[in-house]
Amino acid sequence: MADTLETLGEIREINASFPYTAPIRAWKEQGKKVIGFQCAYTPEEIIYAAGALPTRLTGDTRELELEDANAYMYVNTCSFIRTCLEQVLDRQYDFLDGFVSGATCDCSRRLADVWLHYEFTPFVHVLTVPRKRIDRGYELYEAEIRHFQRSLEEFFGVEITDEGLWHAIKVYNRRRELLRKLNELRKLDAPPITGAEMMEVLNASSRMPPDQFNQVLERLVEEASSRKRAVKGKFRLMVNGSALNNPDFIKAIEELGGLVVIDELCTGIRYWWEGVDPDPDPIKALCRRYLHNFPCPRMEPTEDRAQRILKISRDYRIDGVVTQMVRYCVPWTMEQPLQRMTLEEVGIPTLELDLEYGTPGTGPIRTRVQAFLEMLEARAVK
Amino acid sequence: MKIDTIDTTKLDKVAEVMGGVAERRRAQGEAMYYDLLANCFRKVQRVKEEGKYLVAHTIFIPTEFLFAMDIVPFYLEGMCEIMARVHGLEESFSAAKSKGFASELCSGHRLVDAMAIQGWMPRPDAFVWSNLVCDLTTKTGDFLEKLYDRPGFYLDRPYKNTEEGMQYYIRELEELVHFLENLTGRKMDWDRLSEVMEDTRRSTEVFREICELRKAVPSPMRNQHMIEMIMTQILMSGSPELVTFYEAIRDQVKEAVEKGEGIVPEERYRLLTLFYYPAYLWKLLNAMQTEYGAVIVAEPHLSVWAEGEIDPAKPLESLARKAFALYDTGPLQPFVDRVLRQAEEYKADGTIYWAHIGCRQTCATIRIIKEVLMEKVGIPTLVIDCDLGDPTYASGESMKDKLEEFFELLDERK
Repeated sequence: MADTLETLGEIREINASFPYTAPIRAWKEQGKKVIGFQCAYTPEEIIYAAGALPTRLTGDTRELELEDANAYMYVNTCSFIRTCLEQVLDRQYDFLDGFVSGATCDCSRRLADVWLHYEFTPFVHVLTVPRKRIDRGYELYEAEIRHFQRSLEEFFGVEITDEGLWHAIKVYNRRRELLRKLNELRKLDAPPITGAEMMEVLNASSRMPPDQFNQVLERLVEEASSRKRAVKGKFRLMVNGSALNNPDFIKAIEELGGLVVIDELCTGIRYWWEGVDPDPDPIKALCRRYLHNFPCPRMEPTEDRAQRILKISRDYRIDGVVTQMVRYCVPWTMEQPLQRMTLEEVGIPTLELDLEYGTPGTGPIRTRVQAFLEMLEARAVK
Repeated sequence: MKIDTIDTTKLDKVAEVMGGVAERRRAQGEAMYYDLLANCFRKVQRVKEEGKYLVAHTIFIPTEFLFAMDIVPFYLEGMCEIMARVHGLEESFSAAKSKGFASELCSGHRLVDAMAIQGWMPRPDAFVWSNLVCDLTTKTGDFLEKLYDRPGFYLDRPYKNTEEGMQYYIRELEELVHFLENLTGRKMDWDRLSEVMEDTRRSTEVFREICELRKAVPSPMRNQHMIEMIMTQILMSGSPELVTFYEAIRDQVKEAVEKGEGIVPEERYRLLTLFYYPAYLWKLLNAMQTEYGAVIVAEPHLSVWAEGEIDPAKPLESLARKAFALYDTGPLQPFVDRVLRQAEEYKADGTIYWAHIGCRQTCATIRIIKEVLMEKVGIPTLVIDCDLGDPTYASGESMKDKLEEFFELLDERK
């Protein structure tokens, strides 16, 4: 068995210079714009079709001190959002030319208010995202997307053509297709990639131009498909909950014997799950995709999400779920009691971890994961 | 998990307690608010024997529809909190925690879940909830609908007040009407709804009159009246009882203004307050008046709903305008403008921001509001950390100490 996947080296190199990664730096050096976005309900294709590079605001591999962010946003704002803000205040995102957010959860939309007030970037746009996936929801979202398109065109003095949109859709669909292929391999008894490595891949996906990322991903999928590597773990786990970007958190679980074979995260499968279907009108096609994609707990009735989670659990033959709930991530915290009950009904136990965004999963978290795995072991013996 | 048995004695007790409070306050002329609360609970008590439907709802759901269809409303956050207060807060918070509702969630919503989990909340015929005003209200119905095995309707207000957003919301309201029609098997009587909306128009008008009268110096209104007015607004908008209640307050305030009398003998500090006051701190609000001469002159957050124009002939459009007036679900800037405007119009000396630890969307922008108030109007803001429903989070004494320090600061500025 190969010890590692060689292509991961490239991924790590990209992530090493987060947030102003080498590919983003090279993009800027060509005189092109970079636009940060905060929420997975932001249609990146429109930004890319405007000739700008969308990059998602996240944290990275450590839990930050949030002293400056705490001065700007109250401590009951979730630490994911405060981590993003901390880096902005620390001038790490000075390369951004604009910021886009979906008006989804409270913390996300209030970050947009703070961003707008303090004028962190010259361009700011917030999208209304209807919670209902019915005709009038699609119509409203379409109006919002068209407004967003016009705002980009006017502010940056560009024209977003249908051809440009179709090209962007093709590039991003290819990325989704490749990520799907990679995740299909995780259904194997001994997948070629760990959950922590998958997180590294996902992090890189938004930190470089998408066509370049696709090239790296092509190589990674090919390498992973060669079956030269087989990762084993005692139990097949799903990680879900609030935003997560720190691969060390997953690594800590995997070092203890759990194998994370799938996630249900907005920084994971919910980011790429569905592709854009063909439609004569690219904007309509994008609207359908973003409203119909795997939804976050803020956007969808719990029951519908529960059915999707159950299906993934079956497809990936999950033994247990680790739910990491970032403090003050209300949509998750409110939904979790029902999701836990739903999973329990089909015999899948859940470990709930209250934590701060960015934690590497050490200390008490490690102890709790260990106890959870021991419980799974005891169940398996019975 | 399903709720099979409801302990109806819990509701009975609350109705009795509210009635008792009203009786005790009658001599001081303060019974009206408690009478209204008691009546809300009594109507819920009688709902089955009167063959009516009961709909449980979150904050700012248009009760006008319910009144027009003779449906009895049960305002979840407000009525559950009162129930928990009567029957034991600690036990209730423990019940919510036992099912996994984390303590960082808004205490108001934990108490809703607690009343449901314990089987104390009456079984409604349906739930109606919305994103007015936060993520918690958005998620509340999901849990209750399943727990009580009852149908539900989620009302979705768009973030931005655009023409498309307004049309979307009006269609949401239409669909809510259809949902209630299906529930009851009766058609909405639109003439009756217009009558109900006339009460909404009148109560809004009287409310605005009160707000105008409060610009007077000295301030003519008791500190706690606004919380009574907002609570009843949510409980019974579209009812003649609300009009009567607001008129009674208006008459008191008007009389005081005409006589040039203030609510305190010596008015020392005129304050804006932002967000809701903790319900258990009414004594502190009174102490602010009586001990320190600190009067609350305006609450830009609690009065913002009244900005929407009401036309009884166009109920859906009117209710949509009322919902879009609420800044909680939308962008901040219009609210910042409102706060600045009111600080000047009401001649405020300072602002108190009740930073409810469970409310992320209002707390997130405290710094902005604090800064603009100082920069544009030159008044300081005191932020008081508190929890709306849980008195153990911060003691009344520590809050009083902070207030004293703030009043000293205001003295120095004079």
